[in-house]
Amino acid sequence: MVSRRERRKDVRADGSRRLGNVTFGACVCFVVLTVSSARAQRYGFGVETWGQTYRPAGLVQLESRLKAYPWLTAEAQAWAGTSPSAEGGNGDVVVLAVRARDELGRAEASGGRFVLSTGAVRPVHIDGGYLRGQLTQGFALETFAGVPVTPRFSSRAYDWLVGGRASHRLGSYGVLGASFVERRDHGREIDQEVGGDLTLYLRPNLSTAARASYDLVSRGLSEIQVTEAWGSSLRRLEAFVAVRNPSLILPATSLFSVLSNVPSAQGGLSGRMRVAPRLTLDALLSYRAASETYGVRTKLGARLWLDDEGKGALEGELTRDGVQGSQWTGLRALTYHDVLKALRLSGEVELVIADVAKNGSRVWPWARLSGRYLVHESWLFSAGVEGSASPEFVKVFQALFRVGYQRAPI
Amino acid sequence: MTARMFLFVALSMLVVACAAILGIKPDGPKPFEHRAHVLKGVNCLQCHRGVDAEQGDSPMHMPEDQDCLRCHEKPHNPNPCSGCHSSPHVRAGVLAAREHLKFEHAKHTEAVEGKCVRCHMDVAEHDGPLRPTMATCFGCHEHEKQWSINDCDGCHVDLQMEHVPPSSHVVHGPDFMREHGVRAAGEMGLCQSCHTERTCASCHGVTIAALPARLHFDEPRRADMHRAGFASRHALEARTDPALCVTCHTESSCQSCHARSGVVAGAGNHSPHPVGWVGLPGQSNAHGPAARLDPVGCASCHGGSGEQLCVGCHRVGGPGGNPHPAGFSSSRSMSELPCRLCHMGTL
Repeated sequence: MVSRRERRKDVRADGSRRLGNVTFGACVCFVVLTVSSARAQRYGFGVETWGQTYRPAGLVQLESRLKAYPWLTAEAQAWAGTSPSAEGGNGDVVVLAVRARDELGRAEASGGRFVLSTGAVRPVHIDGGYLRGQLTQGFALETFAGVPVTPRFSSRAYDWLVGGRASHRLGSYGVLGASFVERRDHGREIDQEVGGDLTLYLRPNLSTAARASYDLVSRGLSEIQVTEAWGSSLRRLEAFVAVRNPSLILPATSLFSVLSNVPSAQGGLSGRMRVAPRLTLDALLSYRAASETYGVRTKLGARLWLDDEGKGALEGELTRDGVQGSQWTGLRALTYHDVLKALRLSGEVELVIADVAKNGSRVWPWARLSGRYLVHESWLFSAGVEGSASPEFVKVFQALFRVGYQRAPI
Repeated sequence: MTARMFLFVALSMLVVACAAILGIKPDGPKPFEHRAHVLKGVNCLQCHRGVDAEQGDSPMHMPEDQDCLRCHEKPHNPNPCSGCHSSPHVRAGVLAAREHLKFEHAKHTEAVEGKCVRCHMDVAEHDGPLRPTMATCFGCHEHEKQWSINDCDGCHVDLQMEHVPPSSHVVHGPDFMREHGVRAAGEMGLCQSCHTERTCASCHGVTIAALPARLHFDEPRRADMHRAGFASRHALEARTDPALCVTCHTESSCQSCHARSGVVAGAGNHSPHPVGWVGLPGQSNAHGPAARLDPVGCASCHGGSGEQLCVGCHRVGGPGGNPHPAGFSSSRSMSELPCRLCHMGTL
């Protein structure tokens, strides 16, 4: 016998699923109508399908822009063929969003399913809305609210998120912002954070960015990131520090939030330099600490153009990463070359060598070969094959394809 | 030939080959000597004939040999001048500009009274690329409205199809994957001038990731999130920086992928845990230290109702012992979650 409480739960789940389906249908209709009604006008439109030989099998992307209404855009990205036995249907939606801005950029509104990220608020996938308004010269307020996304339109019980950010532009020297976010799960408070962010451009070719967030539920700094960069795209040096506390980033109601109170930290330097007309070198050196273990992350990379026009390149990378007990060495190489004006062939290989064997293996190779053909710079056809080995599978082979059409606003 | 001579010849050939591969050519193409011509008082239109009437759809009026021969009457060899006195990089840049930008020299030369230097400021300074920066354009054009609503189509044919990372404003440096979050924190509007909603959602979405490294498999790049054989090394990476995963992924993100690929507990499946992961007190119990190091990793599969698996042993009075770190204290009430799971035995 089904209890009244369970029946109510089922009805609520059905309602939530129906609401999800109606939202999905409405947004697809909007995209299609926008495109079809724009036939007499100048418009931009892109559609792309992507597929692979295992589930999820396919992805469809739609994007629409009207030249007559540049302040309005719509886009959708949806998976198909996720699982035929899935309760919520054989598909899933990553993005279904409409975005509008006033002509002077003083106000902006987004609605639908999208990833919200602003200031020190970490990215969160929501079904909801976002509003931004510029109140005075340089001072702006943002607010957002919604329901955190769950896969395949499954139901949620009294789960929501709300927050906002205030920011002030410091002339041409940067931006200063403060943010707040609160999340509830089954009506219980699981996250309440305040944060600050700062971007500075004190000199040409010198920029600073920082953000920090403080957890009000468990009282502690959940994340701090600071990065300083100097130079141009050809010669660049970056210094960075990042500290994150996993137990404070986890929902306050999670059992795992009481297991550890030691943050993981990383600090170091990275750089890039063009040492010859066709050769660019990258390097990274950082120190990592997680709980009571430590490690050094090093990376050396190089890109060699195969001709002066940049029609082909050969790239390589050597990595040494990990903290004690989980260290590994990685070798990676890739190449691509335009064998014809419209045809590009590419290949990529990687070899991961772990210090400690897992399931009896410690060397895990991966490789991919692919080709891309462009027709009139609007149509795109790609196909590729991929093979790999991992601690869990001795060998895995996959095939991939991609078809795209893009029409730019004229 | 002596061995020493042979070695010398071989090394010389190696050096020459390396230099050719790296694009270092002592007698090869060099940037055109614009500066020298400017200092000699040569007017731009003497070489770039007709560029002042160029209307956006015609060639870029690069000088031909006959333009050079009008002054340089006795060329030092019969080869085309541009073969040596012109950098292929600069020429490629010029062609890319014609392809990706809507621009008419005709309108501009009239407005600046034929003074090309007003825009091509670097011509008197060096011989490198002379394409004006966007800041130079904004020196005269008030594109505040277009800039504020990211309407770039007035100048760019299709910004997203250009596939050219910015070289002057938001430089995508050597470790941009690590840096992009903190850079975007204060300047999200700037990111949106090229990127759309799905750029963020492709990685940060909690449904099923649509990672660029996978979707754009035909455009291999070194810097991408979860690139190449990430599936084989993700456990090692997660252990190194456990909190990094949870900045994007929710507790249950890993569960759906592990279920799809059969890497879950159960008969016939491949367990992600090694032998000796869980044992009775006094036996091998590797899961304890691992959980302290990476609580997020545990929560990704055992979160929510999966927490009951832990409570079975670690409840107060249970055989699992105290899971809290040394010196642990909390201001939460025992009747709240998650405390009541173990301390009161209720959900």
